[in-house]
Amino acid sequence: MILAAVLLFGVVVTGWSSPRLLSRLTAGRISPGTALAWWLLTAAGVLAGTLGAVLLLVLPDHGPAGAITRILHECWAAVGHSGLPGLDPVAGTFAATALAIAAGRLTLSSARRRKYSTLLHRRHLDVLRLSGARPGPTLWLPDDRPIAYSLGGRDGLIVASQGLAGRLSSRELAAVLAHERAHLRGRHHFLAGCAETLGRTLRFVPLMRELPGAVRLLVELAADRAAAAGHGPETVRSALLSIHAGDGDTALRLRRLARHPGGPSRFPDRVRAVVGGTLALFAPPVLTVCLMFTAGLLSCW
Amino acid sequence: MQRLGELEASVMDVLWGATEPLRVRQVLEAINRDRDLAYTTVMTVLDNLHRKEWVEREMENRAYRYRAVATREEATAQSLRELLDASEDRESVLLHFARSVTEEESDILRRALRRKPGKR
Repeated sequence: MILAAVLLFGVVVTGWSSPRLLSRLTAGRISPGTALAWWLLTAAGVLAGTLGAVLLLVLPDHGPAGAITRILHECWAAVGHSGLPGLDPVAGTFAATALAIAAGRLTLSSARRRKYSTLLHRRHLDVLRLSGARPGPTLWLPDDRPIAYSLGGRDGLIVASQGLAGRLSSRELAAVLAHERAHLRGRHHFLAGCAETLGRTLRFVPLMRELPGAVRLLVELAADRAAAAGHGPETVRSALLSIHAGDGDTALRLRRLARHPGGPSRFPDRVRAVVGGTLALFAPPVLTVCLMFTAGLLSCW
Repeated sequence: MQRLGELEASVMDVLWGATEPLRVRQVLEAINRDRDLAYTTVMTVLDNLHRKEWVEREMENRAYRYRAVATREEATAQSLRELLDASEDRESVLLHFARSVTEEESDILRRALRRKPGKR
């Protein structure tokens, strides 16, 4: 009971305080790909922590909780199970119900999204077939507006319009297509979809609320970086300016492009990604262990 | 405008490629250059297309002659319009190269990025 409660406390602390910390870290010098991993792993850690805490509550004899608690500090073995009798089943039932509801909503939401994605994909192929064009990796729409986007899924699709080709130089066009290809290669649609679903379902957790917006921006930054690595940041910049949508994100992306020339990620960057990612994923249990140790030390004195 | 199945689209292809209204037999011959369909299949498909108002037909010598209601360009433009309208959907499954954002602009990450112009 105690361990579960402390783990839940770790989850709450992470879920509520991490967006600020992650934003500050992201604004630093790390690459967008690393930042993306940190955000998503933190969210995964919060989910896993919640699941773990509820399992500890529900399992008979609280699963390995007693053993873990004893290992953490022997002093706690006694305290840990002398809690209020009769409270455990109530807390366990409540937590399990809440978890089941959340899981159900998550499943529903992602199923709906998947269905819609498949439908859109099929519609695109319909247009392609109607126009009599040859199927290829890029679907060219006969439209005068500058359109460039991509669809995720098993057979990812890049959609561009003839209006786009008319407005950009061939180098800029190549950079835009490289940007979209980076989305497909990095499974950005899937990541953005997960973030969107989590954000919609678990809106009351600040981390989950901030996640969709952050992921949307970070995948753009990551794709910009990939395009800049192949075609030069200046080309990506001028392409963005040519079909400028006039929003704040464009300004942010332009500034990032000016600062980070791109290129292959360096060794320290990868180390940072792994260390930071691991820490992010295990933030709730790490917090828990720290708390238990502090409390254990205090109570033993 | 109702959407077309794969077979329907190939039949429309044949009709769009023709200069005059075609009989079922003529459509069958054209389509069977690269596949092997039965007469009744093509007849059913044409019947469906007629019901969906993609083709018109007129009786001539006790047989129907079919022709497309709209040109290929008109049909493509129409379905494209529907597609792009659908892409405006809020359940944004797509990743746009340059899209206009309004609601997410105030989130915490964007605030942090804007505040920190970067030291490099």
